[in-house]
Amino acid sequence: MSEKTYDAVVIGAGNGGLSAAAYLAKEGKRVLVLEKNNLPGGCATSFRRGRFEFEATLHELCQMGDGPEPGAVRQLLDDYGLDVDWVPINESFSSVNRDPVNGFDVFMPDGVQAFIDAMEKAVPGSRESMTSVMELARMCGDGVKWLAGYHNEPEGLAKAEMLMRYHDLMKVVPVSTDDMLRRLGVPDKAREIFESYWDYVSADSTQMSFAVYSFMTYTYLSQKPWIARKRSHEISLAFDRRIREMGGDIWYRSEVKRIDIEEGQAKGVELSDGRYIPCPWIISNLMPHVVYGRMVEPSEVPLREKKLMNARIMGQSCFTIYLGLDASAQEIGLKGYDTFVRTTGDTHQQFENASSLETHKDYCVTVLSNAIQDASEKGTCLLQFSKFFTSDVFKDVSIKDYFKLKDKIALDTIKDYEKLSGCDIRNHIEEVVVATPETWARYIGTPQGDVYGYVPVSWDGMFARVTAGHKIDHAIRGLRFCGGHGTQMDGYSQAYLSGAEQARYTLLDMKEAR
Amino acid sequence: MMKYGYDKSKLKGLGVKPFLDMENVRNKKIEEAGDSLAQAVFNSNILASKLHPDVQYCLVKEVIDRGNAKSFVLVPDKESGTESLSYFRAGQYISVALEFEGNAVCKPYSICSSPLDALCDDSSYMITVERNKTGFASDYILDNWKPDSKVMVSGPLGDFYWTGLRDSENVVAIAGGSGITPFYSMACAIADGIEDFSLTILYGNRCFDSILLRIELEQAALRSRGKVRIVNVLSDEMRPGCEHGFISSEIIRKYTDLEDCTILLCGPRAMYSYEDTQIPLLGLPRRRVRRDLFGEYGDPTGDSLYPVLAKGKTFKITVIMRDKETVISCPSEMTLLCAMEKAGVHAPSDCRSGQCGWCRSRLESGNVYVPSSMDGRRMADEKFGWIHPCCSYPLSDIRLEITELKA
Ligand SMILES: Cc1cc2nc3c(=O)[nH]c(=O)nc-3n(C[C@H](O)[C@H](O)[C@H](O)COP(=O)(O)OP(=O)(O)OC[C@H]3O[C@@H](n4cnc5c(N)ncnc54)[C@H](O)[C@@H]3O)c2cc1C
Ligand code: FES
Repeated sequence: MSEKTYDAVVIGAGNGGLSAAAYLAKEGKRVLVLEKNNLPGGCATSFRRGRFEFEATLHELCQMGDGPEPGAVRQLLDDYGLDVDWVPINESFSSVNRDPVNGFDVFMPDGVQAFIDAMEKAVPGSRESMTSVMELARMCGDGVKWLAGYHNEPEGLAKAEMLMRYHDLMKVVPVSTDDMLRRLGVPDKAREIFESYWDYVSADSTQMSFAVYSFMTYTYLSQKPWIARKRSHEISLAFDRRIREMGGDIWYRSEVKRIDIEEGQAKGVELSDGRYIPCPWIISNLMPHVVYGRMVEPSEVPLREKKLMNARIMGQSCFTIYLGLDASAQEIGLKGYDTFVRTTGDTHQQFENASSLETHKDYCVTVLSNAIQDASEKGTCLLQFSKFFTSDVFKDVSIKDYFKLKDKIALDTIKDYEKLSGCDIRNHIEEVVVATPETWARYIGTPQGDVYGYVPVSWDGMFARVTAGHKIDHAIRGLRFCGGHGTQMDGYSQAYLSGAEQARYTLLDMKEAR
Repeated sequence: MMKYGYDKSKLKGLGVKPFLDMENVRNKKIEEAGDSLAQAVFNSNILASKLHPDVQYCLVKEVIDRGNAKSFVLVPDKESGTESLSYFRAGQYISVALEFEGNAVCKPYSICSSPLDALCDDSSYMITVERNKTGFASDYILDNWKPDSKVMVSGPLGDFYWTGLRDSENVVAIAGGSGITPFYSMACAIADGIEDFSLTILYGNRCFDSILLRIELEQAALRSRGKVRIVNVLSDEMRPGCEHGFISSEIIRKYTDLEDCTILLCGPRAMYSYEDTQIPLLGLPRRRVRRDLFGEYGDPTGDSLYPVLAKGKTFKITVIMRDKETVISCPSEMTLLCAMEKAGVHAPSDCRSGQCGWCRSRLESGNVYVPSSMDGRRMADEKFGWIHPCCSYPLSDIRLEITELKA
């Protein structure tokens, strides 16, 4: 049988892998995507129980927007030609800090001005400094957009222009969110409310670049957070269809066991069923820890890559509780779409607390039914809790204790929220699914169930990674990495952008090699 | 130049140098780090592979004759690479892979033993297989599995188990025939102290002699310190100590605190149909009644929504597996999954009830009929043309892309 050959192979059909494959296919390359699960998306998926369909992960997409000036991600996904029914979320977030002295309980609307107004109401006297924050954020956003116009690699004159136009951006990139907000004179309470989103970017506000965090928040406010009507599975399947339409192939239940590397050059991949696919251009949606730790001959792992892995901190792992309730959100009294519940407003303390089962009392509550009214049958609703752990909290859990522990964490969380909100949840649970770090470890194959790649600590933030993403971090010819562990940090939008970025670099590599 | 309304003075003292130095700082950090190869497998990963193995290789250790049924005790086949069997939640099932006479089939069977038996040193599962009129796979097992037979099963599957997060601590189980198997596992789990809820099993059988696992159930009840109770309901025999008739709403009421209970059902199709007329009379909310897998749907051509034009026809099915294609045929009353199995195609399946999604495949062209009660697809699957072959019937010639299982 004459076997079809491929210009490029993408390992993993997560958000990053799908985007990379779509990008290459769109540029006319024959691409093969290899995915170990029987469906695409990785984290971006859904599942059914009884009469409910649960969203696995997507709370909100960033950099979307619509109308004449869509965000970068919306543009990218539209360029791919994805057929997705996008739904905007018409609010920002609710944030509850249960600190007995400095606590708060606020609902923050979407829209920059509305957000500032709500903040002023919650924290009188915050208006002026918050306005400064937003304006700086707007500047950062413009800078990011400008940089994207140069594919993040301004050269020559452009470099000079950057110094002229965006020196303030350059100034605030290395400053942490916390420091910058203090510098701008944002009152403590307003600062803590503003920092509520940190869980989604995995580094706390003492580590997280102000430019990156404020830009992200600003985009959420100005362009709204977005989701897909038929869950994130709709996005993943839209990718699947487009990749095929553009001439690509996707093989499911096709786990890559080995990446063949010879003298620093990628040669092909081997599947767990023994099939070998020769191909000198490989994009891995799996993180370097997985690739170098399990799939590459140890002698072929470049020294710098070993050091880079050791220098980095693994991102959060995740614990999620999915509930299908037999009454509507209104009947139960569930308010808001996304609510952060914390015991302190100090994000660094939150990060520390999240490193052990005993001290991690925080969680995020998502009521999908408050964003999509008919997300489930009439008279029912969907409710989800997520907790992000900052260390390997399941490291000592034995098989025998596993189910009990899982149920206990879930029960404690639900009870806690009942107490806080006054809602009766437990008497309405028709379906429940609990996912632990173990579940994620199994499903996407990451070490300790990491769902956020590497923590973007101050020295390894987005700007530093992006700068290194083309050449400096490119260690093996023909092998590139994309995904939530990539240059753009974790998250859907970031993984999509990272896939496109690394696909583009691969195209440049191909040209160079000719 | 753009105008921004922030107070520039607040940036005083900040320069662009740290930005320009960013890469050097990062390189230095990396340079300073150790050069060992980082760990990539953690406890979560190990737990994951122990709780959800792709496949478990087993040996039949013992065959127990139970009249119209047999129980098989399965132990790990260490030579083939399975060291111990996965822990599970009482009520879960395994999918058994069978290959005979050119068929390649997977069939679900509830694990009919205590989860503790899987965890102990000589790890084991028991499954109990009843002889039935239609199930050619069950007959194959009953006639061919002997001590030392090698068998291949999946990891534990399904969500028909008790959880305090959702269910009442007062559980009333309604079982018919071999539908007792998940409840026997639950009874053992309670007796062994790994589950803590009270379980009243209303067990329907024709006559006293046809009660499966009767003595074992009694023993589990004895060991359970009053938590497990068995009520035999005989349809064809009057007997002291047993209820007579079918498991009607009156009988259920007699043994149930309707204010606080969870009802679990497992049994043959006929029992489900009967209970569909009885359970609603109890006025319980939907979350309080849970049913085990329905199993295969059977011939759909009599359904009121079935398009009559397709009836009695046989269609050409092109099955695509990666870069290979096979052409098979499928009569209108047969599921695409069964047609593939009969043709020896290693098509994936677990629940065979439309619910688990394991058989999920891409319908490249053609039309199928999916009985609405079986349609457990995700919304986007329907939008983009993905189907569950275990409950999809052809209405035309079809091109279907599946992901083949390893032989
Ligand atoms: C509960 C939760 C909520 C979240 N909410 C949000 C949110 O609201 N907004 C947001 O932007 N982000 C959110 N995220 C983060 C976001 O989901 C991830 O950052 C993003 O999906 C990462 O994508 P990825 O490209 O790294 O791929 P992954 O999702 O990691 O996918 C990797 C893929 O590779 C496959 N694979 C692994 N090993 C192999 C192998 N050997 N061979 C073949 N295939 C293999 C896997 O099966 C998987 O499909 C959330 C995450 C979680 C867990
Ligand atoms: S085998 Fe479970 S859905 Fe088909």
